Amino acid sequence: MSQLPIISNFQGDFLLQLVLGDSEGTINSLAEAAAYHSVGRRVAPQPGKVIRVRRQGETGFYKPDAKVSDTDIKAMDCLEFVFSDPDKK
Amino acid sequence: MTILDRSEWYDIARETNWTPTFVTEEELFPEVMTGGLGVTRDKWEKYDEPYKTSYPEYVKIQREKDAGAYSVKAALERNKLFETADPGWISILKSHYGGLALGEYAAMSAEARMTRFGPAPGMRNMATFGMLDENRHTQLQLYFPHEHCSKDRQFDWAVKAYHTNEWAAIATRRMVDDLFLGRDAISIAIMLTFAFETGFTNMQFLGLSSDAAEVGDYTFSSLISSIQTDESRHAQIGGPALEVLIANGKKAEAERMVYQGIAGAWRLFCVLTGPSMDYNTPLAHRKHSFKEFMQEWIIGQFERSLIDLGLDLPWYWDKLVAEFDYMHHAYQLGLWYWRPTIWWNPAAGVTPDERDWLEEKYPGWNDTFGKCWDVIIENVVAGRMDKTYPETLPILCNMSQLPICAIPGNGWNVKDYPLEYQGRTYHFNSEIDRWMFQQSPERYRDHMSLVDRLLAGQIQPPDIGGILKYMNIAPGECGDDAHKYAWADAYRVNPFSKSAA
Amino acid sequence: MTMPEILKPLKTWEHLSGARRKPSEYEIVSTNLHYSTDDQNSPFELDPNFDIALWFKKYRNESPIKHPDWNSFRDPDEIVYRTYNLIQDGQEAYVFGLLDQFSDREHDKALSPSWVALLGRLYTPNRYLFHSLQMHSAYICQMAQASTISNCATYQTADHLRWLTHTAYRTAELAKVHGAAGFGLNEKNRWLSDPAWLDIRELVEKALVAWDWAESFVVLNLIVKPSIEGATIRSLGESARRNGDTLLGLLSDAQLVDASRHQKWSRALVKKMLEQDENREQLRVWIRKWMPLAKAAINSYCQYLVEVPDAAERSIATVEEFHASLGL
Ligand SMILES: [Fe+2]
Ligand SMILES: [Fe+2]
Repeated sequence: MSQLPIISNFQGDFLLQLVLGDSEGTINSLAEAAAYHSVGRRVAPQPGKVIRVRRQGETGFYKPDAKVSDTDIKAMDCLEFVFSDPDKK
Repeated sequence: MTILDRSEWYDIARETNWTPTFVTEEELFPEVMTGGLGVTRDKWEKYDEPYKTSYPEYVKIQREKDAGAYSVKAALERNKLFETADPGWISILKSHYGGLALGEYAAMSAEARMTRFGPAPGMRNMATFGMLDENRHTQLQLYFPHEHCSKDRQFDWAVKAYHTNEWAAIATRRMVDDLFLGRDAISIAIMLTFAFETGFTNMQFLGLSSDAAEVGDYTFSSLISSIQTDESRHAQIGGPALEVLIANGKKAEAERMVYQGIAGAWRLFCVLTGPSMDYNTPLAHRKHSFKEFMQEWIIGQFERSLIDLGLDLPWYWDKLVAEFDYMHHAYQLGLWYWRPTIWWNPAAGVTPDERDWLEEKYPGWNDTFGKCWDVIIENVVAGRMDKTYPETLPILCNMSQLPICAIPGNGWNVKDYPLEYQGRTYHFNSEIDRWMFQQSPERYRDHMSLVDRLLAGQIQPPDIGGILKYMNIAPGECGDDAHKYAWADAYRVNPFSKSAA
Repeated sequence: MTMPEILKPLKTWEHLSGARRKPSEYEIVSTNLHYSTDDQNSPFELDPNFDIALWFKKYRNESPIKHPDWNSFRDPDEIVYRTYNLIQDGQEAYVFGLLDQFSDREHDKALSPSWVALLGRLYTPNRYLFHSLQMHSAYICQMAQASTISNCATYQTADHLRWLTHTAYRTAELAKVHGAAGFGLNEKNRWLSDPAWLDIRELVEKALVAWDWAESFVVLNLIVKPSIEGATIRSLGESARRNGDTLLGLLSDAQLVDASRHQKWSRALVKKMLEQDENREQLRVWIRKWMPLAKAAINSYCQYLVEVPDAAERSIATVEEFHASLGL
């Protein structure tokens, strides 16, 4: 595991937070790491939804099972974590 | 009685400029400490301070004022306000003293800079009284909280806060250092006395003084209004300095300094005064919302003083005014959620009645900020306290050093405003903060926010324990909920009342 | 992580709580107030190397005069703002009482023409000198290593504005009675080109740009002030008494009360500096560097005080005795 600090902008939360992800993990695991610091703390869980990840200012999401180090995500990039329906891409 | 009127000798006392011959003019008034955008010193002969006083008048009036302030304190010492006041009010006192006392002392140094390096004798004389005033404000605002030390360790932060790397202290230092302690004399005249003191201190002190009277804290009320009488005098150093700059073709540059001053001051008032007024002040004693207060003071009065001087409103004015609606609510969430990292006990301020008030003053509050508080309240009521404490750091704005935050819930609009500069990416809270950086990057370039320091390995161990140690804040002084969560009882009885609005 | 102990309330500020006695009001409101000294590499919560940060690093942090605990300095008079105004309001009531009485007695009309001329030459230009002391003291205030030092410099700044104010007031009074003598008009020329003032002006102009904070203190409080207080205040005051100008004699004495307070804290600060033996030589170097200018200033001015023939000699001796008494 290799720690990768990123900036989490979590949908519905009021601030940006420092989140330590794993560059060897998947985008999904990064979403979980971000959710840990927002959901159930200041953001209500949304059962049935999944959390997708995109770069601030972009509309397209990263593939959930992509390995973080295979994407263009670098340390301290500002990423948006957004609730979505599971079937939507 | 044959005493000359002040007007008969006042001008002689401010005719003290001379052109040096044993050193150069530039050596005597170096650009770095004097500033002035290239307006030569002869042009400053026109500087005319509107408020005139003299040494004998000053020491007489100030002696009388001090006699007043200290006697009110002595008379009320036994009135046990500290034991009977709402804990939210006590929190306001703690945040006020810790945030201000040593800032007043830094203002003394800034007044001293104008006394030594100011280009006009009238400015130098007025700033001498300003030095004394700020010396007074420091001493009063240390003497008054000191008596509470033995009851509550958090009052130690009246003197301690500025000496720590606690995040709110870092943000406060940033504002103080950037607006005055780390500025040249002419910038100080404009940023400290005009933008900060005319624009914001007035408001802070008048507002606090009336709030204090409202909750029955007459000691604090009279202290604060006594300080304000000094502020309104020495705040007038800046106006004539602006006039000289404008008259000499430096309007755009002068405006820029005013805009930077307002933007910097606004952030700090927003994080300290906003939550004080709308959350910590007990509901029964709230006369106005922070937004209403800002509208009256900043839009109603300060905007007029800009226009009177012939200055245009800042390019960001609409953005700043828009922030009156939400920014301090976001800071309040940050202060409360990260409460173990601050030196006062923030009141949550979200009982059902308080939420109704917030919804009334800020329509849409329940649908935005209320959404975050809903989750917090559920956790408090369910006893899931671990979920009400942070396990990471907010991203801090590289300008204000405050969390980057905005509107949550269904109005979610939180955003990073990044800037790439000389190979480093900086993060800002808004376009205004990013603009501030761009005005003079050399002032900010190699500064590191608390988050930057953590990532650079300067904070060890890099966990919450290490961070608290780095902030020099420990159990016994770190904050917790002001009312020990008693406010949540309303939700225990009727868990649905929160949706009253 | 082990839980740290829970901090208990203390009777006073944490940094004062080690002392055996209860802290005084002076200590409560005066100590440890500069935070820009905390991080020697970065005085401000800004870039560590922007221009003003470099100024503070160079002229304060890197001063050759070192001490591990500047915050242990105490003003021997323990003046706080409140007491400063009490003291000086009383002093000003006294001075303005004098001004009132002497004016009622038409004091200025009785002055001899030659003395009036001398006042225009040697007394009223003092306002430029006093203002330079005011500016210089304000520099020490903003650059000092400890708030207890800055506070002394703050009150000293104000005291010099006081002296300037007395001088301006008297200038206006003299102008009313002796319109033709140029009071209120000629001071700047005197200050700029009269041989009585040239060497003094050279001293203060150069002193004002001695930027190292410790040298700035040494040159102002150990050289300039004792020199000019001996010459343009004390000796001039003696001369005044010998010319029937009792008022100026009394005014000078009133200002010297402030001066002796300034000497007290200066003595205490030198003592603090000399707790580190390595500082002694540097202080001596500065005194050797500045004394020739000071002596020239005293001599040039005092030669015109004909009624006080030993004025220069005594003024210089007083400064040197002061240095000797400091161990310098
Ligand atoms: Fe103040
Ligand atoms: Fe002020």
